[in-house]
Amino acid sequence: MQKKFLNKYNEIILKNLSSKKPFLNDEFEQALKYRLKSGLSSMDDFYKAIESNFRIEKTQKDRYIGYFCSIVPEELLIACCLKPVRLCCEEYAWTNAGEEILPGDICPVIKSICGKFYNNVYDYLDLVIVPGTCDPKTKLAELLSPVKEIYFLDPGRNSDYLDNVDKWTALYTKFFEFLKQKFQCNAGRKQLLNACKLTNKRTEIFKKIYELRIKSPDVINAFDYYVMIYVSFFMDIEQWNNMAEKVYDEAKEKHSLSKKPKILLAGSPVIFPNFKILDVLQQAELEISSDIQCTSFGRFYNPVVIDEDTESGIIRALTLKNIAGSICPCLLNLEKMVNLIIDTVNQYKLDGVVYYNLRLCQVFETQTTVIRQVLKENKIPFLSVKSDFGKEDIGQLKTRFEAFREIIQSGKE
Amino acid sequence: MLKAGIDIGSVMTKCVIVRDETVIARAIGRSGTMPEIIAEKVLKEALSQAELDYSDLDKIVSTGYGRHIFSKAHFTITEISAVAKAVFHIMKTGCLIIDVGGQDTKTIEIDGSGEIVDFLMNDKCAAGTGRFLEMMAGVLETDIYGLGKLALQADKPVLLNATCSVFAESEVVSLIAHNEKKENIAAGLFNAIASRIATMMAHFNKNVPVVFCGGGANIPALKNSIEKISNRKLEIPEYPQFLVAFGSALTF
Repeated sequence: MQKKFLNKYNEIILKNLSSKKPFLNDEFEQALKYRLKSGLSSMDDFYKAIESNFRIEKTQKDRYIGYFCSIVPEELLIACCLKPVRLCCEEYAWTNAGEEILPGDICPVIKSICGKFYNNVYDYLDLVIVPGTCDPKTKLAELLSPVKEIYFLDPGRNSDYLDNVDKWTALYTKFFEFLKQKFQCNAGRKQLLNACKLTNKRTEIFKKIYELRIKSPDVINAFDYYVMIYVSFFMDIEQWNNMAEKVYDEAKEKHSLSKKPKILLAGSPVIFPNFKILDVLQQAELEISSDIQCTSFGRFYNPVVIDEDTESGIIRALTLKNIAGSICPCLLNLEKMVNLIIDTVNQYKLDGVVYYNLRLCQVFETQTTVIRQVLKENKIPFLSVKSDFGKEDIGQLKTRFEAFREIIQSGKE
Repeated sequence: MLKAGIDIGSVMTKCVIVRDETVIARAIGRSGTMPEIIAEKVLKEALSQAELDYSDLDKIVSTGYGRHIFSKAHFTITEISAVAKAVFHIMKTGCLIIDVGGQDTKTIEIDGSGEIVDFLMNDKCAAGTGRFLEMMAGVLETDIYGLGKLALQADKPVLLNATCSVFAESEVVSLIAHNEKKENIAAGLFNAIASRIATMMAHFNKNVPVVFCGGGANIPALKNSIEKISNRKLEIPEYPQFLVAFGSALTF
């Protein structure tokens, strides 16, 4: 009944969609702009990868699986020889296209995703995994179901491990069984271990880069860092590991020249090409030296820790990393988030915290006041800003960031 | 030492000439579409009032939205740090500053040594700013000060629901169509802004004096509304619209 209803809805939408398509060259131009700012020749391959991502040449045996959120275990997909592609996107042009399908006051990430799907950008995907981590994604699973085959993965909204470990293990096991059956593969313990080895290697390299940037944030600038993160959305992990290792090797030989205040960027994720926040922070002479965001730190910082070397033991370990370890405000409670921010600032001697709220992503914004008050009590300079993919508030953001820098600098004197 | 502070705001450009921490001249002009030219004009006017020349100035400091476009400035500073500097210079104590400007409404808390503890600004939309009041004054066929005078004569302020400038305009038009008194509409508009400001004030220390400045502080009706809704007494320094420019001149 639901399928018939949604298919009918889909037909109406497709009939009404305008024929004008977003101007995609904008993204290439953005990539070029940031490439020029890079001081590392090893970053070239990452920038080239953004360009080649628009011309995916799919062979007969390739199976691409789209997914959203860090709670989807890439390891299960890799074990089944599938190619995971993270679809979270922050593209202004596609947000406009999405508004032909969804109302304006909806999370802009969801709008740009919808815009892309309904304009056949993701025709090459064989399956899409949508988690029920937030309300708009829950509805997204339904809205996309007439366009693509969807697997809905719902972990619930409580990340306390002891309460949920059996439930999550069952959730992942069922998902793994579905993948094996759909794509007719015999993956098991050995393939899972190999997949974990790959993602753990990525974690090892990411941690080296993360810690290098804390000490010397300018040797791998914020644009390069977030481009590396974005490329990891679609690139083969082994290839990414090799390229990122080269960037680390080149960067570690460089000397830091920056005397700018070092800040922690927390809150909503920053995803290429929406680098407005990074651009304005750079203009305001603030150095993002660390981050607590789901697409980077939240996804890569913790390894898969396997206590029991069996198939179910590995799957349990994956739930610990991906769901219990999630930093999404839908899952992580406020006390843990605040403590994570304070510990990071104190441990790495950072100068302040910028908390970025993506407009209409209410879960991040709801916790802002509490974070502000607790950080104030701890004498940690804190600034929250709210923005979206549009460019009209650059002047206002700049004033806020520059004032924040002035406060930090006058506090140091 | 002679210094000029120029606050190039989104609506008005203000300039003060300061001799050893005392203001000796003030000038103001509408920023318009060529703010750098206006800044130049306003600076010249202030210099002529003080019977001085460019070459007499030791430093020029620019602030406000257009701070980076004024090429004659030796230094720039944000309006947030500038207003904090000026208010502390006058009050010599920790306080909460409310600055209602053309494009932004800011609440800034400073401590007993003049350092900024925290600040909050309105969201990117114009609701709650001077520009919003100008637009609404236009609908009621008056200017921003006329709007303030109307509000002071209200007997029953209307409750306005819209927070977006464009929708507030429609709401006001619809109230006029229903024969609502202009005075009550005007008072309703000030109450709507005051209520947003009071919400911002609630995030800060409640036991310090509140200083009201910016162009908005020139409108008594707005001061009354904020005092009533926040239940706090507001102090307005002399020439509140020039405080940011003054603070910038004090900084370097």
